[in-house]
Amino acid sequence: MNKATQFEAEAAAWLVRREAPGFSARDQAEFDAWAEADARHRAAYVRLEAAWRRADKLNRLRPLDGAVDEDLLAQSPFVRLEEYSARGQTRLTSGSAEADAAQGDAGAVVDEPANDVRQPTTSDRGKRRRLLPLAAAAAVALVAIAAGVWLEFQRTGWHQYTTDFGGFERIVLDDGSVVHLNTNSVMRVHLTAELRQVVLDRGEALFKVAHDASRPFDVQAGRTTVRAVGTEFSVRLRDAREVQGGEKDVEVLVKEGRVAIDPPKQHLERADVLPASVSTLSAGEAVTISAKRLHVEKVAEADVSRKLSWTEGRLWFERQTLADVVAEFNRYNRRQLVIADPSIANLRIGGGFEATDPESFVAALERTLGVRAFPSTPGGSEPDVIRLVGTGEN
Amino acid sequence: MRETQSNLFVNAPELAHVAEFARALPAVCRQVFTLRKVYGYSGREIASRLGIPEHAVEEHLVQAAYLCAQAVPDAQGLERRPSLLKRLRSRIVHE
Repeated sequence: MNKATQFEAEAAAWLVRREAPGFSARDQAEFDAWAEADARHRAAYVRLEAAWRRADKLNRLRPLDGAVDEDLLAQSPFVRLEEYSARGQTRLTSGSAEADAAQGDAGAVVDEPANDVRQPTTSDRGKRRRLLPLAAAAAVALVAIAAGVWLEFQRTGWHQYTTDFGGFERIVLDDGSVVHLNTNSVMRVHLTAELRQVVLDRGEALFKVAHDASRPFDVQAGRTTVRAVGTEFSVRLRDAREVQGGEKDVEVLVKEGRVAIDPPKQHLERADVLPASVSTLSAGEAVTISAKRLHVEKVAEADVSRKLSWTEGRLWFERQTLADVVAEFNRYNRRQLVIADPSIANLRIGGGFEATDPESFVAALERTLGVRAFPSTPGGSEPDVIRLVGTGEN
Repeated sequence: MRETQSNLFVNAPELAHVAEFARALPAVCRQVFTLRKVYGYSGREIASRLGIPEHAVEEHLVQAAYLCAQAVPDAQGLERRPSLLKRLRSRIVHE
């Protein structure tokens, strides 16, 4: 052992001793003497302590649910991410589920008896993790036999919920969690003794999660996973047409408590964000995640309520452009509003409206903002739209 | 209630280095290190959870502290020492 190595070993011993309870004034004097004896002693100590303090940041890996696992670091957090992308493989199979859903009626519930032969029988977290590569392989195999996948979902206890244009559903899950499913949405739910899994295939949902520390509540939307224990948050999938810039994205808004976010892998490879267990979002925060972008913002309490007013069937606006407001109405109604006159697109709109009553909204526009509305002829050959034009007064 | 603002943007590369270092530790040393650094357990709590004597916990912590300084880049962003990580990993064989 050379001198430098020896000094570092001594420094490490001091570091740990100083952290232990019962480190006395006499111990401190002894330490001071050691540090004074050689400048290299102190240098080694300072260096070690700095590294040791940096390791304190690992406390961010502590799971939100308070579970303790001494083997948490047996795999790096970045490896654990790959497990999530393995789950993403399962997600690929949802195409057939969605197709089935599209044929269903509004609010239809596919409710097959749970007959989950593959449900893990052990609650040992470590064991479960060791099984994950197997699970990932199984997921890939599932993709390969896509034809049988939907049956597999049914047999394994996935329940599916769908809403049509303008539809709302308030769903109480078996664990007591409450889900509000917004317009034109598809969601699948799978509850086991260990995990509560939700896949949002389309649309938007608000989750009021029943507290159960032993059973995390995961919502997967696109390639993003949101994990909660007991909290209230909404998740919205927007397709390319709904986003300025034309890139589909996922929006998560936390109303109460905290959730952990596991974004798509490329955001982690970019290495300025972290995996689920460390990436937490608190009440009054929202994140928007697309393939290229991950953006966190604070949302004032009033704005949170406004953004979630759809749970009461209403849309609240606050100085939003007519273009945005029209886009929002069009999520809820087959009868689409069309701005046929660019000069009115930036009119600012405020107030509350029935989501499924665009006619009243249009009437208000005509009364107060001098907008003219031209509904298409009912039963005519052209699509069912209401064209909006200015009168030159706006 | 809110202990930090969103920590989505904590310094991930740095944490990844530390996590990678921890992964390469021998099993018991890693468990001790995990309980201290991730969960903030005291020496006594670690000893009772893992069923080993307290002085053994201390020795594992000393070893971890020593190796940590070797493996984790310092504030000036010194390069990691991949050779050391490699050596550390090869030690896992004995578990």
